[in-house]
Amino acid sequence: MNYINYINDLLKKEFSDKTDTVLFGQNIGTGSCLSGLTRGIELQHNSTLLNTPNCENTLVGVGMGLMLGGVNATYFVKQLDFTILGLDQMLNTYNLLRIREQNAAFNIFAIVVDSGYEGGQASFNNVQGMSALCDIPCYSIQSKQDADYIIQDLMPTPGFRIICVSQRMFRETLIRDAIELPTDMLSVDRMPPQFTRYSNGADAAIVCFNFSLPYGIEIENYLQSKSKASSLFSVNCTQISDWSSLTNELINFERVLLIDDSKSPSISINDLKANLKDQPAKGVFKLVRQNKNNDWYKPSSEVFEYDLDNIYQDLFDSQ
Amino acid sequence: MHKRLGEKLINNRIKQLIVNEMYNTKKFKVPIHLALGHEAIAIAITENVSSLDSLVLSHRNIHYNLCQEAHFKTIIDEYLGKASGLVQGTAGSMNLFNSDANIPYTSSILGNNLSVATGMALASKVKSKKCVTFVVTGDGAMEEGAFYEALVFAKTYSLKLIILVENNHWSLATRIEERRCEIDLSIMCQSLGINYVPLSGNDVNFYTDEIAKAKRQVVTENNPVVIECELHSLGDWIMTNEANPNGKYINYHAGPAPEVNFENGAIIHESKNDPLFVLKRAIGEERFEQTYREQMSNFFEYLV
Repeated sequence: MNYINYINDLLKKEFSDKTDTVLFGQNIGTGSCLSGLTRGIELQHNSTLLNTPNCENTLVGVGMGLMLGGVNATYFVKQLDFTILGLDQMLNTYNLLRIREQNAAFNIFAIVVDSGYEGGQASFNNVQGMSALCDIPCYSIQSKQDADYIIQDLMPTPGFRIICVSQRMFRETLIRDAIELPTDMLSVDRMPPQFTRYSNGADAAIVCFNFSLPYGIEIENYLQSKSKASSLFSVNCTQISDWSSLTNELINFERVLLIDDSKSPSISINDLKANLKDQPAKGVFKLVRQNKNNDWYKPSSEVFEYDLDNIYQDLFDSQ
Repeated sequence: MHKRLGEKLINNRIKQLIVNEMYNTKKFKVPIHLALGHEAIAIAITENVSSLDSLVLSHRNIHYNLCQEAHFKTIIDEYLGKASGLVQGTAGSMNLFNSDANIPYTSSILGNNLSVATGMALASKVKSKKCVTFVVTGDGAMEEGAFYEALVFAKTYSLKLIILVENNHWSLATRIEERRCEIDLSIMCQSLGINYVPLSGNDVNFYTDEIAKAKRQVVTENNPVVIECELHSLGDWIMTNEANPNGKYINYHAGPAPEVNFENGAIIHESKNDPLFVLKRAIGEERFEQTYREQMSNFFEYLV
């Protein structure tokens, strides 16, 4: 099953028996159903699915009002950048509400338009951007593991958050399951694990941020072809104040590669790198994107270009 | 004229003047937007908010919050940032909500509260609650895109929402005509199929009845209503300084109003711009004076 169908199935299942729930957004449940994301969702009891007018600021505010009124709400939005019109609500309104007890959930479920040739509006692909600006938790779904936890456990939890999916991955086969989920990696307040581990090699650690997991898998496979076994990690949530559970894992490696496909500075990478201090022994390497020729502000392929040989050499030949 | 409404009107004015006196002596650190001259509509709205309804407010909310008899001391404490404040000093003035008085949300951001109120009205509909959501905004917020968006959304989903526009024709220190083209709210509402009710004259009795009618219309028609209330923010003053030797008119916006006081039965302006003047004319000088004295007697501890 591919990425979008898996997520859609989970959403259908999750909302099929929910009461006092409103799912809303532009062009949801009809037409293309946001490229299939909301196709076939059927609600029962007094829950409602609304195909709304184009009024993003109000849609975010309505979600806040629904949450305040004790109704679970999810706003599905075609592009993450559309939510920028609702910044006042995400920042100012939620600042007033967050200090009170929440009785309902408000989720913004946004598609990150990273599939190419969308032009300037697609430069905003960093899940962490909104998180940093509004001090709210944001999550990216990249795997079955992410989807299961976020849709089944996190979305019904009272409070406000943004959940992002990658348009680039919509037709991809759902990437692998995590190999383990150590209980000590679970953080408090039913937050998702700070990171997920996907493989268990000893030669290098690869840590992926934002929507980088597919790139991490490609690099992992390449290293494997060179007889180097790596461990693959993914950090798919923001607002990590304590990196110790991940750094405790990473100090077991001599080489760590950090990957982020964001088109804006990666706070998390720098934060994690600072927390690693002088470890591991043979270095921490960063793989981030470069905005060559201002390509991000005009239609382009959006491909994250990197040279696998160079990565291998950086990790293993330069020591 | 209902006696109780007249009492509430004078009571609200006295409380605001007490806040103003304290403000003039620099007791408050948080900014407060007084609403002298706005009392009649606040009392009329509050009279029509039932225990099931919600009232969503904006930065200028003192006249609504002061309608709650029991909360004056806690509101003062809230302005003072004390833990004994209405919401433990966490909201100050511009965001002061009061869940016990069905005021679940107040926002200092222009136009921000409209969509939140719209969401609350939708929540009530989803839960099949028999209630109406009231939201208070102003002529400044009417210029925001959020205002139009909220109207479209509320109409689309047949929400039981009453949007009150307190139109004082000023935004900060600028008159409407200095800032923008005319917005004919009646035509805007008509284009969206939303009922529109204009109010003016500061007669608290008339306002109360008109809002009750509007509320019945919202409930029976499942259709939002916009009420535009013409009013004047009292407390203006003439600033004289080197740059303005002949004096410059300063419209009241926020902070202490330097030239208002308890004289003349707390009437600030001898015209229909002042709801207390309208009340005095309606009930007669003697009854007004008596009601004023009675109400003042409730506040000796603040006036000493």
